Amino acid sequence: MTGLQPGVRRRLPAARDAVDRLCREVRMGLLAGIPPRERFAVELLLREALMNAVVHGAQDQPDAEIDCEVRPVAGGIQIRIQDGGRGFDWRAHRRTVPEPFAERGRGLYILDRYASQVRFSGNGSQVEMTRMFQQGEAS
Amino acid sequence: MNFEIRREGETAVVAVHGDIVATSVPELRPALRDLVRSGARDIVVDLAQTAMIDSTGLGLLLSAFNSLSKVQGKFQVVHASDEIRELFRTMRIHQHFPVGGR
Repeated sequence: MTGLQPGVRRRLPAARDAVDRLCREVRMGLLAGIPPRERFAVELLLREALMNAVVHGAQDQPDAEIDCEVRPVAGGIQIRIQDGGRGFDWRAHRRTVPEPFAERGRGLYILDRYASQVRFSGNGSQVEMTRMFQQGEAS
Repeated sequence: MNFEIRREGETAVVAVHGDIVATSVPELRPALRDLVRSGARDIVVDLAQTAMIDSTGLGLLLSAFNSLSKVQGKFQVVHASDEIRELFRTMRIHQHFPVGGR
């Protein structure tokens, strides 16, 4: 079914409410027909990666812009996000298991746990993630 | 997102309507903080009307739990969706406080 859905490609301001609007659009549109477990997972990945781009890439400067594409691929969904910021040291942060009682620092860990594949490029200003639907979940 | 609080003595139920995410956490954080400061020692967050929690939202709930732990209080989440319960398990937060389903 997902192969029949058109993807979403947007350039949005680096602002938190713009992240909300895009996530709502994707939830109601592209993800509307997929099982709740996968819908939740893809939206969570999208939210975390976009917020990472807003906060760490664009430093919360709303005049900066973020490119985002969410598109169906065979058996799953791919997300690609690029910001024009100076990037961040993703190698140092990835796969770091959060401290049990820490109130911050779970965003990248969520990407690693919820995406089938995560690939940062260059200085960390571009990330591409694929979530393959679990067997029995895709229709 | 909006929320309503039902308070009875040291017990408070916070019913959240909407997502607990980076944009809504600044509204909810002061309410939870004020509850603890005003003597609430048993806080229940009702997620019956919540579809999404992100890492910022998880941080807020842990912050409330941490604050209550310091004063020997209790914190729990109820009526969470299957997806949110799985998120708590994946992030190993369910070890800290009870997370009830729908």
